Parts: sequence; structure tokens; C-alpha cells
Amino acid sequence: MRGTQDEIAAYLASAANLLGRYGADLAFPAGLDAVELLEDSNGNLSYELLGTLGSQNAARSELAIREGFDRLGPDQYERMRYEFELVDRGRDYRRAFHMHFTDWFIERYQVVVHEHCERPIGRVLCEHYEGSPVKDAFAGILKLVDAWTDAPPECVDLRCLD
Amino acid sequence: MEKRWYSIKEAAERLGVSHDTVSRLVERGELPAIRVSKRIVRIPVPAFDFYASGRTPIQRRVVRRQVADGVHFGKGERISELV
Repeated sequence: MRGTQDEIAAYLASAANLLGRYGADLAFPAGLDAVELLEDSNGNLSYELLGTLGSQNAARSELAIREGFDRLGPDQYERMRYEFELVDRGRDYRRAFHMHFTDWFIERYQVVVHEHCERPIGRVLCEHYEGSPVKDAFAGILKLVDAWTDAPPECVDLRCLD
Repeated sequence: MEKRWYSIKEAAERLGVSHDTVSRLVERGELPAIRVSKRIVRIPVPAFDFYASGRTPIQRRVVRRQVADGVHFGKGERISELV
């Protein structure tokens, strides 16, 4: 996925909007009622959306969405890393869908993406599970909400990479 | 156990509209849902509550900020050579 900085900013606003439409409460940086698109000293872009999902009467689940875009040239960026995280406190599990440290993962496991599964939270049967690529933030949000509405995961049913 | 999702039938009953009306809302994306299969659709309760409240999603502003380091990736990794 590639785009200009304006396109990535519009994409980020749409992703935040979709989270809101799914009923998630977003947490914003202190004193800011907006989402931040960060540009680091190398000219790369990244963002983090944090939120919670669930009823006010139950333990709320935590959502985190992070994506990083490397600068290819003048105002041209490519998505190179992502993390979609769900920590379901009420049902005591964690699911995560990751693409990061790709060189290391290719060398170690011959994969670009991987997943995490802990049930209960903190019980790690396998460090990294085989996963499928998540094409963008919208697909990632659907994956998280799908996991949240589905039955708690059976981590042993996933394919362990380790 | 906290209820996490409604079927189209349950959502229709709660909204006091027909099954077809809810199906159309889902198809048009006005009521966010998860299509599990051709026949099974899950409408997350928070999404339903948001829709039923009549609220409009806030269009968030995006603020651009220059920083030394961007978002930190790999918080959930336990492999020391990665984080």
C-alpha cells in the first residue's frame, strides 16, 4: 500500500472513523481531540490508534492499531509494518496480527507476517503463529472486531512457527 | 456472559423494523457488521448501540507532528534481539 502524506492522513482519519462506527472509544494524546500522524527524523510516517470496546458494565477490551510507512521518495510512502492488537480482559485472552521486523522473520521463519495468541493473557504456548497478511487498517479493524465477537480463540489450533 | 453481537433478527426486533431493513442497513454499510458467511452476519453490540443512539461518528482531525522517533513497534514481542 502506497500513498502521499495527504492520502495517508485521509486514510488514518477514515480508520479512526470506522473504529468509532464500531462503537470503540478512542483514546487521544493528552489535550488533543485528534489523531496524530508522526513523521520521524528519517522522514518515515507512523501512527497509533488506541481504544476500548465493550459495554460500560463489563471489563472493556483494549484495541491497538499501529502502522508504519517508509518514505520512498518525495511525498511517496509505503506501508512496511503494522500491528493490530486485541486484549480481551473480560474473556482473558490476547490476539495480535503483526508485520514488523520482516527481515528477521523471513530469515528465521520464512514468513513476513505472524500472529500472537494468549489464553489466558500471559500464557504463551507459542511465541509466533502463522498468519495471513492484513491488507489495510480497515481489514485490521474488521479482524479485531471479528475476534471480539467470536468465541475465545483456541490457541492450540493455530500453527506455531517456533 | 456479556452479549457481544446481535443477529439481524435480534437487531430488527430492537430497532422495531423489518429483517429486510436491517439487511439493507448492513449491506449499505450504515450498520457496521461482520459477515461470517453468506448467511451469518454478526452485528457487534457496541456498533449497534452507536447506530441506535442516532449519533454521527465524529470525523477526527489528523494532526501531523515531527518527532525524533515514530511509533514504537514490537511492544508485544518477547524476543530480546527484536525489541
